[in-house]
Amino acid sequence: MTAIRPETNVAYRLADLSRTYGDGNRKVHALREASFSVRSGEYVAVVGSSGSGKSTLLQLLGGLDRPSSGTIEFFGEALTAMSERQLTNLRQRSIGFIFQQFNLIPTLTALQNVEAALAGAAPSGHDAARRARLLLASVGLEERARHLPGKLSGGEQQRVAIARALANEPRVLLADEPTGNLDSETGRDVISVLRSLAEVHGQTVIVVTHDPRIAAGAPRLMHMDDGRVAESNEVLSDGLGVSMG
Amino acid sequence: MFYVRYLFAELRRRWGRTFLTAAGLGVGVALVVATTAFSAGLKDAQDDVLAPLTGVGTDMTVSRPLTIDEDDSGFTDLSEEEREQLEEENGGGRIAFDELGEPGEKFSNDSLVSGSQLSFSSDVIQEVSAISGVEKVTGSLTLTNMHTSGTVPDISEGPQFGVSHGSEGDRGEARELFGNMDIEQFTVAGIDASQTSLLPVSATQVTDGEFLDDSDARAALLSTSYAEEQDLSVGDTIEIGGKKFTIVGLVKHALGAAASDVYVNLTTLQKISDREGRVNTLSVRASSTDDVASVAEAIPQVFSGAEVSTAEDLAEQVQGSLVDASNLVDRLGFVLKIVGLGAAFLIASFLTLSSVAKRVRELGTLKAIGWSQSRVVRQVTAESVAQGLFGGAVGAALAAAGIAAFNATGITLQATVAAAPQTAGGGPGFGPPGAFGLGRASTVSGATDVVLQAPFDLNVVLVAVALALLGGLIAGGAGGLRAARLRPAQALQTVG
Repeated sequence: MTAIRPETNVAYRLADLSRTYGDGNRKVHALREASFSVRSGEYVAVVGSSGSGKSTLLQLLGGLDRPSSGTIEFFGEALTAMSERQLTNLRQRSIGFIFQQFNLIPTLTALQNVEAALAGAAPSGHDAARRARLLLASVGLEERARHLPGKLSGGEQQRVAIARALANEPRVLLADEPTGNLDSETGRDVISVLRSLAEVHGQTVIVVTHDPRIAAGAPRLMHMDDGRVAESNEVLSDGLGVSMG
Repeated sequence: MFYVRYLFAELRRRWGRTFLTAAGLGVGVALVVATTAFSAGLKDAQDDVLAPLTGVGTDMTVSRPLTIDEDDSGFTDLSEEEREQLEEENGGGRIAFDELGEPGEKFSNDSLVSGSQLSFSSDVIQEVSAISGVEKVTGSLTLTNMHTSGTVPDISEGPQFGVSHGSEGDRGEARELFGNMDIEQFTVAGIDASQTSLLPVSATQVTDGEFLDDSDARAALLSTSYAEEQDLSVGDTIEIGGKKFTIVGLVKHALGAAASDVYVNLTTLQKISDREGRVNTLSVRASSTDDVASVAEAIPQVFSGAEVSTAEDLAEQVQGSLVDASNLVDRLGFVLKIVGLGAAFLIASFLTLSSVAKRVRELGTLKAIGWSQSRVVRQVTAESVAQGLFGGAVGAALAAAGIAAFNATGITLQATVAAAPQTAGGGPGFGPPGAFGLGRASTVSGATDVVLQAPFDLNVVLVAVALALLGGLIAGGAGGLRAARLRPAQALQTVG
C-alpha cells in the first residue's frame, strides 16, 4: 500500500495527462495534455459540454482508469505508477465517489449501501453499522435507513451515495454530475449537503458538472472543451463559453 | 457479516433469477438422483429374483449330468466306474415285473431313482473345498421317489425297463405296458440341514411349520406347490422310499430356483436309497465374487465331467419386463445422468453469466468504492455456490418427492423363467415314459411380479449436490472473474 504523506499540501498535481481511446483513424482524444494542481481542501467545479472529457478526467483522478500518457500525483504519490492493489486501497481509504446515476446496489438497503463502502475497512460489522447510521443521519436519512434504493426518491438516493462516499473519511470527494438526475431544488439541496460536509471534514472536492448553478457557487472553476482543460475566473449565465486560460 | 447479508439480499431480492437457477440445477440433481434410485430399485428387484436361483449364499452348483450322444450310442462320456455306478444305482429304478407277481396280479412298488444326474462320492466335497478361492462346499442328493402300482403286465416278450438304452420300438411297447399301472413320482432332496448358510432352501422360505432339524431323521419339508397338489399339510405324513416321514414345514420356492418337491436330511435319504456317502449336487460358495470364474474353471479339473452352473448362468434364464427395464436403464441411465447434469450446468452457467453481465456496473461500483477484484469474485462465486446449494436442496426434495410418488404407485414388473431343458431326460429307454429329469431338482418356471421400490440414497444426493455446488463454483467464478477484471471505468460505463 502506498503511504500518503499527510503533510503534502497539494491533493492533485497533473502533468501532461492524456487519455486516448481506440487506435489509428478511430482515435478519440478524451483528454489532451492536462496540467494543473488542486490544493488540499479545495472545492473545484469542472464544467464543459457533454463529451468534453469531464468524466474521463474524473476517472483518471480516482484511479478508475489509466492515462495514455502523463502523470498524476496524489498527495505527492505517483498515482499513475500504482499497482491495481494500491489503487484499490487508495479508492477504499482516500477517495470517495459520487455518481450521476447514484450507483447504489439495488438489493441492499440504504444502510447496507453505506456499509458496503466500510466492508473492507471497518474493524467490525457492528462498528460499520453504527458508522453507517451516523452518516445517514448526517445527510438527513436516518428514518429511511432500511429502505431499498428503489423506494427512495432521486434526491434521497444521491444523499445515500454521498453518505457512502464519506464512509471512510476520504481526503478527496469526486462527484460526476451529482445533480444530473435531480430536479433543480433537489440538486441544490444535494450540493448544499455535499459542500457543508466537505467543509466540516476539510475534504478536497472536485465536481464535474454542466449545471451553471453548481459552477457559480464553486470557488474555483475549470472548463473543459474537446479534452482540453482551462482555468476560468468567469462563468457565463449558461455555464458555457468561459474564457480559456 | 456484511458479505453474507449481501449474499442473502441478492438471492432474496433477485428471487426470479434465484428460482430459475435453483430450478435448473434442481431438475438436474433430481434427474441424477431419481435415475440412480430407479437403477438401484431395478437392481434390488433383480437381486430379489435372482438370489434364490442357486440357493442361500451359493455362488455356483456342481453336478455330474448324464449326456446321451446324439447318435444314440449311449452314455459314452462315462468312465467304466461311472457306468457300473449308474447300473448299480438304477437297479432300484428298474421295475422287475417278473418279481412283482404273475401277469394280471395287482402290485405296488416304491423306489428311489436317480436320473439325469450321476451321483458321486461325497469325497469330492473335500477335493472341491481344496480349490483356491472356495470358501465352503456342501453336498446334496436329489432323487425321484417312484411309487408304482397296478396290474403286472405280461412281459414275456418285452424288455425290462429301467435305465437302459432302447430303441424307438421299445419305447412304444413301454407306453403300452405302462398303461396298466399308475406311477406316482416326486423329487426328494437330501440336504445337510446343519449347513444353514449354504442350502438349496432356507428357513426364510418356510411358510408354515418349521425348517428341518438335522437330528430328526424322519422329518420332511414339502414345497408349497407339491403340498397343495397332494393336499398335504404340516403334521401329515408322506412315504419316501417306502418309509414314513412327518411333514414339519412347507417352503415356497422363488421363481427360477432349483426346486424339489420334498426335502429330508441327507444322511437319511442316503441310507434309505442305498447311496450312503454319495451326493449328486454340490453347492459352492467362493471366497469373493472375483473368485467365482476361476473356481468355476477349476472344478472340472478336479472333478471330471462336472457341470458348473454359476448364478450368472442361472440369471440368464430370467426374462420379462424387469430384465427389459433393467437393460434399458443400463443403456440409458448413464446417458440420462450426464444429460441431466450437463443441462443443469448449462442452465446454471447461462443464468449466472447472464446475471453477472447485468451487474457489471454494480460490480464496477463496488470496485470504485474500494472492493478488490478478488473480493468481487468471491462475492459473485459465493452467490453462485449458495444458489448451487439451494438448487441441490431443491433437487433432493424433488427427487425425494418423485421417488416417494414412484414407490407409492407400486409399479410392477414381471420376471419370467422358462422351464429348463433336461440334460438326459429325453433319452431313449430312460425309465418310464414321462419320467424326464428323474432325480433332478426342477427349475421353478413361470412368472413372478416384482414391485419396484426405488431406494432414496443419501450418498447419491450428496454427490449430486456436490456436483451442483461445483457447477455454481465454476459458473460463478468464471462470471465473477470476467466482470471483476474490467477496469472500474469500463464497468461503470456499462448499461446495466
